[in-house]
Amino acid sequence: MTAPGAKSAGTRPRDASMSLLNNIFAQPLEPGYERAAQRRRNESEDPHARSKNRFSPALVIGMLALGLLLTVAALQAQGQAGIASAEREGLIERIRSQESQTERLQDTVDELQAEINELEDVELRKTAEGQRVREELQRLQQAAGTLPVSGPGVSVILDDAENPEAAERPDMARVLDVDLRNVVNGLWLAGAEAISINGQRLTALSAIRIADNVIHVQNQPMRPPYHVKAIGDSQTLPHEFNEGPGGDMLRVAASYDVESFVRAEESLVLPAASMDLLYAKHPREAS
Amino acid sequence: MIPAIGLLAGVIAGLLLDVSVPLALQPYLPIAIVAALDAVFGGIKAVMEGIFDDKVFVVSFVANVLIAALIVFLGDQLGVGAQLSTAVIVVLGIRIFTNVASIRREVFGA
Repeated sequence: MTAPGAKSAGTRPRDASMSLLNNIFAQPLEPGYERAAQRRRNESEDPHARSKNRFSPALVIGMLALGLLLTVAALQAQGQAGIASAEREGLIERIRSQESQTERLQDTVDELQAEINELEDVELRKTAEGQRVREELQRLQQAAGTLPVSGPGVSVILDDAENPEAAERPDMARVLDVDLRNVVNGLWLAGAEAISINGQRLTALSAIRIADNVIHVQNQPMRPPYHVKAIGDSQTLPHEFNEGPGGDMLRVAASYDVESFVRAEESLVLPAASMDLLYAKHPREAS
Repeated sequence: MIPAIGLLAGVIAGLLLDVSVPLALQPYLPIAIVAALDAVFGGIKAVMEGIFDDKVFVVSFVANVLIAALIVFLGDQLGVGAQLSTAVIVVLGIRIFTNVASIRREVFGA
């Protein structure tokens, strides 16, 4: 064992800036031991006289304390891990059960809604006035998007470039919310009567927006390719769309390698949108 | 040999007694163990060099554990508990390694 400080003698060492670490390496032992030994050496000529009893009770007690600490810590860590995983399991269980309950309730809502519609239909059919109201209602519901519709139309398929990273402008090689919005608006302008994106029927309240690079339609995350289906006159709709701002947008997007495809369809089926209207309330009423 | 039996007895006592650490002290337990390990290996090395001293060992053991816990406690109060824990672990870890390395050299001569 070299005496501490022997290293620092002579010229300033190159690693002087790391003196803290060097200190720790050079002086691993408690300096107290050295000093105590020194003291004993001064008191008696035989420094090993007292330290003959190597197995001092202090060391044994220290080891005992260390073992106790180790065991307690290990047990504690294990117990905590068990508690944490059990809690997580419980939470997952609760989420699952709540999800299935929500699904069940949604099914009930759908069933009841269908029943209401049927009853409405039956009642309205009874009188001539009712018949007129029924037709008006259906027309309005189709326009509002709360009734499934079918008929001829056009489908527009948009997809990201095959390898957007390799494109000149990777940010432009993906389909953005703006692109989808322009396509949808172009379709409305071209005379579309009802539009859906990937099975989500668009209504007057629908929002198409991008968040975290994922396009959300009515707060539902979408994945490319985006199938935009529009019901309308299949003779004029594709042409009108291609000539209008929607077609212009697709041509601009195509220059950035975004893939798009417009096709006239003989029969399309668009689902109904689930609509929850929020009504303003008088503050006194609401409370 | 007898210190090893002490360690074993400690482990068994820990298993049998089912000691539970209060929640407030739990963050300091690992740090306390590392500090205790440092003191113990320092003691073993001192024994091998023949300069072991009861008083130094006990004082260094208790002081190590308390100071390590105190540093982490202070760090927690100042919002740098994790960093100070790392600092304590690094310093004590290096010391443990160097001490164990020299114990190994004395025992195996390599």
